[in-house]
Amino acid sequence: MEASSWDAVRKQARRLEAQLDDQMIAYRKLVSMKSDGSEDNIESDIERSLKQLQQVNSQMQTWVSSGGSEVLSHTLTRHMEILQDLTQEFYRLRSSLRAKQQHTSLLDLRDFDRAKFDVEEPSDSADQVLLREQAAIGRSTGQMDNVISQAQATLGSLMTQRSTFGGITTKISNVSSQLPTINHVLSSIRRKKSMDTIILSLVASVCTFLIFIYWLSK
Amino acid sequence: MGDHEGHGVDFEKKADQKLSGWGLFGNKYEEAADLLDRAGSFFKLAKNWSRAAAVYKKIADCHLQGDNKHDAASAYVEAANCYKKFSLQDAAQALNSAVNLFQEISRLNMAARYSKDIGEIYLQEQDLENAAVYLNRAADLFDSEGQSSQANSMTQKIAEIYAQLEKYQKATELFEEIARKSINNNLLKYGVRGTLLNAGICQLCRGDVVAINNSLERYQDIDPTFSGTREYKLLADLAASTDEGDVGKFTDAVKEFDSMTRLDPWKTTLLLKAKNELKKKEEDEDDLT
Repeated sequence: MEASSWDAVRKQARRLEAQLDDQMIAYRKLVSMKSDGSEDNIESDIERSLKQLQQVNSQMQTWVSSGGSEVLSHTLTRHMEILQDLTQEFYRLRSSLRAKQQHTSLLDLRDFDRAKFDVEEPSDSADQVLLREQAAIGRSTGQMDNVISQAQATLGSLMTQRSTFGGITTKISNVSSQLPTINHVLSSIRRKKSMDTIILSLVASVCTFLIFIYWLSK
Repeated sequence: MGDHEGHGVDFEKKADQKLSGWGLFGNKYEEAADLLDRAGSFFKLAKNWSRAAAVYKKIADCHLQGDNKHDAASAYVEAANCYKKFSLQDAAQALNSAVNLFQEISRLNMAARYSKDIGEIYLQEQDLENAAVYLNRAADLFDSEGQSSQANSMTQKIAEIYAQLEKYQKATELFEEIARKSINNNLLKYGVRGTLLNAGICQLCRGDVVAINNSLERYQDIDPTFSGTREYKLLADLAASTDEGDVGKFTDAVKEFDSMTRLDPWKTTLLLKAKNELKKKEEDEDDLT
């Protein structure tokens, strides 16, 4: 009876996992394509399935905690792993889709047509084009200056690091020369400890033996 | 696989026998912990994570009985690594126990590292409130250990979380604090304009135009080069469009910036909130007229 009930619960878990796999494949496709509004349905379906799988796992958990075998415990762990992987994957895909949707929504074109406004603007003169180009070059130069100063700061930091590492190298070589000695001391301590234990146990047994003899001779 | 499991069970039984024995010579807790450690390794090889995690928690208890807090904390970390495979909540609890023990023995660096891990687990679980609590703890610990760059990156994450939780005032303050700290550091000062942009976006979400303009002036005091950056131009344009209630201008400013530097999801989310608020205002005004 018990085995059949466990089998039923496990079968349900496997069915839900297979169903979730299919749903996730569909959702992954939807994320990679342009969204058309159907993602809400799939999302709610996946969330529902995940909740159901969570409940099924809880049922299995109660089975195991009420004296299940090792095999059952192992099986449950595997199902919980699968649930966690599916949940994490769903969260990741959902946040990716949200980001994509929000980006599109944020950069949405205005409702009215800009083309008609552009017609009214006169075409730029050669001077204006050159001025714009000069400004762009100026900005680029500024950016390059920024990058160069950042690189110089990095170089300074790296040089400081190099000197630090130089100091560390000598310290490590000093330590490594002392390591055999430390190792020797540790093994001596270990030997001493085991000797102490042996001596203590011998003394205790001898005392016990003597007490026993004394008790017999009385 | 089954072989590993069997070995694990054997070692666990031996450890249980040790613990239930007298332990006249030598420390029974230490010896039991050694046996359990071997059992844990075998359970990990057998990929029985729940059993391995339970064993490592037992090891932690053994070490605590022997008043060896460092090893107990390390055992909790091992348990958490096993829990991570199937239950993030349990992993967070185990790491929390480890953090408390590391703090007790003044290993603040380790405590900070694992607090950060707990925060990241909660972020993964999308529990922003708890994530903020643990990342805050990590930031404080890193700061007390003098690891300013680590503390800064934690504070940055916390500020982002506060903004997601719509605690814009707190987020703005944190971003500005990071900017002030970073401006004096040769390597961090180049990231200041990005941090100030984040602070400005949080101000935008509050929708207080006067505060935004005051902030822009204040940001120039923090970083005198800020007024020449594209980040400043974006904030100034967004402030102007918010003041005028012009959604189109707002979108154009964002689009221009995005064409050069793609906006990350966090900025996108907040700017979209600000844009929607602006739209709502525009619609309300249209209804009134």
